[in-house]
Amino acid sequence: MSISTERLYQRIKFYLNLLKKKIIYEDKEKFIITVEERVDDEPLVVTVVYLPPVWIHLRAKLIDGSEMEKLGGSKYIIYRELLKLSFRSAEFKFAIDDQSNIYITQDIHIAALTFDVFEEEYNAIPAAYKTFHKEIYPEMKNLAETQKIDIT
Amino acid sequence: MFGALAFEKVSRYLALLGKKMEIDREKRVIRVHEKLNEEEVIVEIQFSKNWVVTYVTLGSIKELPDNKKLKILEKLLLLNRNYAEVCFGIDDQYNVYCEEDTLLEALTLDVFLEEYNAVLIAFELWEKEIMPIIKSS
Repeated sequence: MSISTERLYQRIKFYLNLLKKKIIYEDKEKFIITVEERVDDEPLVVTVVYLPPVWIHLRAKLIDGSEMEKLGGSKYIIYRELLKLSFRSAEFKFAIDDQSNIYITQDIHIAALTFDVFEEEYNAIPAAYKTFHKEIYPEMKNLAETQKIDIT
Repeated sequence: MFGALAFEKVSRYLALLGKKMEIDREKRVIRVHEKLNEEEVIVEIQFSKNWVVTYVTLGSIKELPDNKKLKILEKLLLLNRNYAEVCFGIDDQYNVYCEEDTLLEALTLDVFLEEYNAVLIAFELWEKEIMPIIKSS
């Protein structure tokens, strides 16, 4: 770890400590910090990763890909709504991985890394989780019910 | 007031970068003409209370069959995950955009340029990853 990357990593950790976040895992070699959040009494794991040289990546998994796969072709309705929300809200960027897991992600360029920016981007994660559960999850439930599928 | 300052800052950044642009001071919109792979691309920049919004309109997928829409929406969400700098989104009419939002308090030339270049990268990703799906039979 070079001095500059270590300093940046420590700065991120310092910001998380200022925000009194509960760090539950840390990998100093890979620059990964995992935080346990509570949103409306539900646990939400937020991962903060420093990706040298220039990006700080924040993410939280919203839905497991196995749930999405149960929806078959109608998952396109959920993807459509996620992309609409990504467009409508400056703070939200939704994404999926190869296993169809759905994430909310935020990226901060190191040139923009100040406490105020970090706090704003970090807070967008629980806010997106709430919005997802308010606006998109009910749609998922409806689709599952129509197809007589159980989703958690 | 803050937005007006951002408008002046971004106009200056673009002038320093030698961009060909139209500035609408009344509506506080800047349109930049870029040329990528011989194609003209318009990058639009708008200003809200807290944000500088830089975006490019990539095209519409409205008329495509549902199976192609699914493939494209899936691919756009995967690209959102794989590229830190890009954020694809769609509107109610199935127009696809790449939109980058910069908090006013984070607005410096370096940050703006990173966000600006991201929409150009998104255009290239659209051409390379999405257009083949649109054109496939």
